Amino acid sequence: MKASDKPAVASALGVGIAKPLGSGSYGDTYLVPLPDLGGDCAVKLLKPDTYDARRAERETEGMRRFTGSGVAELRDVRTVQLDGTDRVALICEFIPGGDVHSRLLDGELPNHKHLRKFATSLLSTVAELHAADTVHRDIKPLNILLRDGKWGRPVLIDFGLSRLISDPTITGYGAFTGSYAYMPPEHLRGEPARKLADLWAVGVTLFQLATGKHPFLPDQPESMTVDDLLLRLSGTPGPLPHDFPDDLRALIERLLSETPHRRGSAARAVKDLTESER
Amino acid sequence: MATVLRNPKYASVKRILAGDTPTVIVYRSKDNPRLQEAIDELVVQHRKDLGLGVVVRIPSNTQKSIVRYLSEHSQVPLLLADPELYRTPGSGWPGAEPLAPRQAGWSYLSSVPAKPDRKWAAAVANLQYELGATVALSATGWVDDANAKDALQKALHRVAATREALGDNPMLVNLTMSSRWLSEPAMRDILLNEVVESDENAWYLRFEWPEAKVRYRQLTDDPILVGYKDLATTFALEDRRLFLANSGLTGWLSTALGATGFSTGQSWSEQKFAPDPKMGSRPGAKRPTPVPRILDPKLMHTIEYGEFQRLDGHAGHADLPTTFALTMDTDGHARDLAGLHHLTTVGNLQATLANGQKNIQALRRVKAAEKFINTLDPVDQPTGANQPQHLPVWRKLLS
Repeated sequence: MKASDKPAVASALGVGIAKPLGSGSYGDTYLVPLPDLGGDCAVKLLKPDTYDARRAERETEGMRRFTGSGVAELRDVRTVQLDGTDRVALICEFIPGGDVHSRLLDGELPNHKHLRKFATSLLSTVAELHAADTVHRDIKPLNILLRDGKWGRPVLIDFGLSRLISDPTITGYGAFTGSYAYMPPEHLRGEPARKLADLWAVGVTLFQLATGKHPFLPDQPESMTVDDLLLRLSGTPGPLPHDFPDDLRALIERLLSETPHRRGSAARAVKDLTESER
Repeated sequence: MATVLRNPKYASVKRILAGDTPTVIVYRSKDNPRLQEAIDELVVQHRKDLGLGVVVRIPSNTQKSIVRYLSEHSQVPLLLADPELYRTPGSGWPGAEPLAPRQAGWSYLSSVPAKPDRKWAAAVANLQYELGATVALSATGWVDDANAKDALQKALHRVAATREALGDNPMLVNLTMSSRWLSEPAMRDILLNEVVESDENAWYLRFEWPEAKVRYRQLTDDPILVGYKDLATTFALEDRRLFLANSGLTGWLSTALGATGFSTGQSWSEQKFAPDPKMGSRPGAKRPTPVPRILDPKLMHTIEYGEFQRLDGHAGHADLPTTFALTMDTDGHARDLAGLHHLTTVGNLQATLANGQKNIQALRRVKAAEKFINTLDPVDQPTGANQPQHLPVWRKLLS
């Protein structure tokens, strides 16, 4: 991110300061104080070549309906002028605590107890979304924040922003930050991402938090085609630790089923986790 | 006219649709005017441990008769009026024929829209309520095998149109399809993917079996039964309700594996959905005298009545008695009593799954039936069509 962008962004948003939080495929995010929207906010400026205001508005309609702690509250969608171009700004509550991706990069993995809480809470949120017929489509560690830094309080951000992906070749999935690493086989084959695609992505994320590794892909990023990736996903996932709890093992293995229905619904996963805790 | 029970303790529709009770839905037609007697016997014996329903086929009846039939059973919680849309010409069902005059009188059958249509779906759903149904079946018919994924998607769009028309009122996703959807893993996966993805809680699925080589024999086709097991198990895991239309005691087996219930009737044509075996006969030849038959509760199989009486002389055969079978013991076989006994026995069997682990309860019953057969001298064991060939197949599925 260019440092010179910061004053321009602040000016575009009509505030004195905009602190960069991160940059992704679809836009750059800033921490911006917006007293009219309740204080500090995370403002995502979408890249103009991938999104238009109408589409972004439609994509965020679902997000507005959720006020639970597992979903970042969407406070406003605005169009701002930046460098002479209209840019869509998604304005969400700011969640201090960092994202799961950063924890993975730092090698900071949750213990079994915290992983169970994380899984239960994240799947409860996904179940709530699915019950309202909303599909996230881009669940991955980078899109999961930890409210107050706690594993038991994951928060989903960036709803439905992956819809426009159409690049047929993967040029590298970075350190598992690219969405391809979280796409289920059926989505990679060109089928639309539906609810059960979210369950696969949760499975990959949980596996990473259990082992520090992707269940199917090598540690070192390499260039591969969709066909290469599909071949890997059709194999057996890597091993989970020997001392791993049976119920979590069964859940993660189920979520990584190549056949979508074998993953089961998020509601079922929550029920299973809740029952095994009793 | 049957005696009306005072304050019968039926399991409510809410309880049935919550999956809290194994359920049997029985067919009502002009051929079984004493149906309520069987229902009364089941209610007295099982109360809320058994969900009960009555279904009437719309196309083959008049509006007046359907209203009368359903009002005669107005105490039964689950009342269905099946639009049988798979029967319409052009539905894709191989057995569809041009509409008979009575069927053509039902305007919805001759006005099936090419695409999902909320207004038409609302009319079909409202018709069911006007006729006396308490739960509507979605305005959907046959789901083709060719281009299975697209065909199912189209059907589900029609389901969505009915749901839109009904709002939050109870509805069963009503699909009729070939048994290939069960036996072929790829097609089964397509169906199960949609079930798990769907927000709909209750499904009424009818599968057309291959032509039965022998009438009244239980389904023993392994790939189809494996499909039923996968289907029923998935519904149970997902906490969804599965009702299997016209599935006879395969529906009982499926309930043990996770389904909620099934529909069946007194006649063979209501106990399964399959082409009947072709019976060749010479012109002018007399129709053979019907063989008296009865559903044997022990063997869970319809056998010749004489064979039933012979087996009843052996220790360990008596099981789940019905007043109708007891009447036949003294008065001799009668077709209407055998039909009422059939429905009561099916209900009794279904109620055995009300408590405890359903698959274990069913497995015990299957093993007990096999044990009874094995205790008989080989010359005394039932043979031919009377032989319960399904028992080892069921045991394997339940184990």
